[in-house]
Amino acid sequence: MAKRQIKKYINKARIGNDEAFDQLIDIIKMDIYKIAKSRLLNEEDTLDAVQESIISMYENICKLRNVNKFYNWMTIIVINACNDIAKKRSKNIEEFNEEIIDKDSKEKKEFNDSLINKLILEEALSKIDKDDRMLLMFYYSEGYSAKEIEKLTGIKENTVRSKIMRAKEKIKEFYKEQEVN
Amino acid sequence: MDNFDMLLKEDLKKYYQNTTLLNDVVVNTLQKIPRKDYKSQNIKIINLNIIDRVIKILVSIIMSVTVLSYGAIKTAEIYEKYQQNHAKADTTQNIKNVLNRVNLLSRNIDIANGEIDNVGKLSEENDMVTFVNGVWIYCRVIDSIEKLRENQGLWSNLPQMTEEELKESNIIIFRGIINIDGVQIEDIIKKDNKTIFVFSDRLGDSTQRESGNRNYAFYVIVPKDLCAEKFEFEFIPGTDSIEKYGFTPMSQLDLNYIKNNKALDENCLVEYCTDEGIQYNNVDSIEEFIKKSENGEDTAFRYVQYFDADDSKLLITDNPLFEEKFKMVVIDVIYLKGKYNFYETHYGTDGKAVFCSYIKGYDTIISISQDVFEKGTVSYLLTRSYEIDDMYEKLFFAKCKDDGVFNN
Repeated sequence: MAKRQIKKYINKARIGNDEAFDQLIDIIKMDIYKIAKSRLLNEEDTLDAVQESIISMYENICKLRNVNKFYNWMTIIVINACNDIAKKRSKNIEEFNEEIIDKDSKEKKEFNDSLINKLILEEALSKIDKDDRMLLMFYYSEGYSAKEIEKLTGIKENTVRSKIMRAKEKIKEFYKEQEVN
Repeated sequence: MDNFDMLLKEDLKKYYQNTTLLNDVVVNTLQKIPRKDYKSQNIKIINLNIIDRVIKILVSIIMSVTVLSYGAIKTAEIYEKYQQNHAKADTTQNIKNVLNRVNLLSRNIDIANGEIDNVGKLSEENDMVTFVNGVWIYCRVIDSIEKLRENQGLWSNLPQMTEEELKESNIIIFRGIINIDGVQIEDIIKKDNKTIFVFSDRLGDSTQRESGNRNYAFYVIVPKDLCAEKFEFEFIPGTDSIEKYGFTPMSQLDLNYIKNNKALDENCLVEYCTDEGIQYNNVDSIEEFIKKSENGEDTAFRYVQYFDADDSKLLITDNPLFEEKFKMVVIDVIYLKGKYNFYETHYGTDGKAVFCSYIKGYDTIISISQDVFEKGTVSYLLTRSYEIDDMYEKLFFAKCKDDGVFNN
């Protein structure tokens, strides 16, 4: 989808065009999902966060002053929605992760190879800080450069690089441990 | 990208694509959202858009006229010298007229946006600041735990504090983004019952600013005593102008805030390294470290100035300071403005070792202001640097001997 087209939808949505807002959400829903999933991991919570983010974006899009900052604005809204969900459930993300890990280890045997790979990756991701997970997602899954991530998140390019490097090393180590076990 | 990178990329792509319920959730949410009546807001926003468009069209027309006028001069030059002289004189006058109109228009834009020359104000929502001179600053006062958490999501370097700690502390944090590189926060002043944040423009003229349109994120920790209820943001053309504008240089501000252990009490300004990595906000541990250091054990400290224009706090995390076995205790902090790009200066236990750091992307040569040097605030001049790892920030280590020669 051309950037110009997205901008057009944003502009229309800002002035109350509901149809444009719906079309905009249809285009960016996967971006919202990925940011939320990178922070929450749990599928159910992720979908809740998507829902909350869409509502919040609808409520606030008229206040968005700079269309070029739309993605930064969206990222902040999704992060806030994720934080709210974690807070509402009165348990922190580490607890979620523990649950995931426990559940994973019980069910691992019943799943086929690809699912096991997914679970191992999820377990590895759960060992990483949620902010770093988001950076990994932007870098590897979305293919953003460190410079682009800086623009998106406000985190310095060098810091982004070093955080990604460290997160990657953690995953590597985790995989090695898995191989040994 | 190595093999592991490729595999990880593939796995992560699959992992984040793997959803079956997303479409249903999105469709349901869109159906359930109570839709707003935008009638009243429509008028305002549409008007703004129209003004924007009219301004853009006017500017385009004026620019075209300028270019055409210039073209007319060139044409006249080719055909006839005599005629060319007249044409030039006439066109010069035309250009002057056009430029006057452009200036007038710019002023009108400023007025339309409700801005006052060189001063930006916090909006009612307390989270946005506008500037003239082509510079926008988005800023948020972080005075509640909710805001702190929200911003920690994007700025993991903000101090980790509980609600109580934040309430009891003597600080206010400002987090902001400036849409320009080369702008630096220079000073915080309390004046006429207002807190003024002073930013300097190190790039010089507005043309350069426009071409370097990049985000520059910062956060500032300020003692509450220094903050009045009203906040203003001023923009000054260059670092040299600070005194001309009647501002008090940062270095003359309440440095006792740091020295008289207020900062230590509040913990927000001190970082230290342990074998487990960087640690923050624990007075007991810091005191313990000072003792260890005095006993000759290996410790590393970084005393961050209370006014931090960048995320230099990450430096220690990213460097092998412990491997280097530096023995240091911070006994003083200075702040150097402008071109020197100095973020911290640390003295060793013997008063002779100096540790300095700066951030990659700035000047590669570090020097200390001659003024500061002469005042005796800093004992030694540093002129060399080296890069530990291209990935990470550049760091500068120097130990000074009695003769002033440095060993890296």
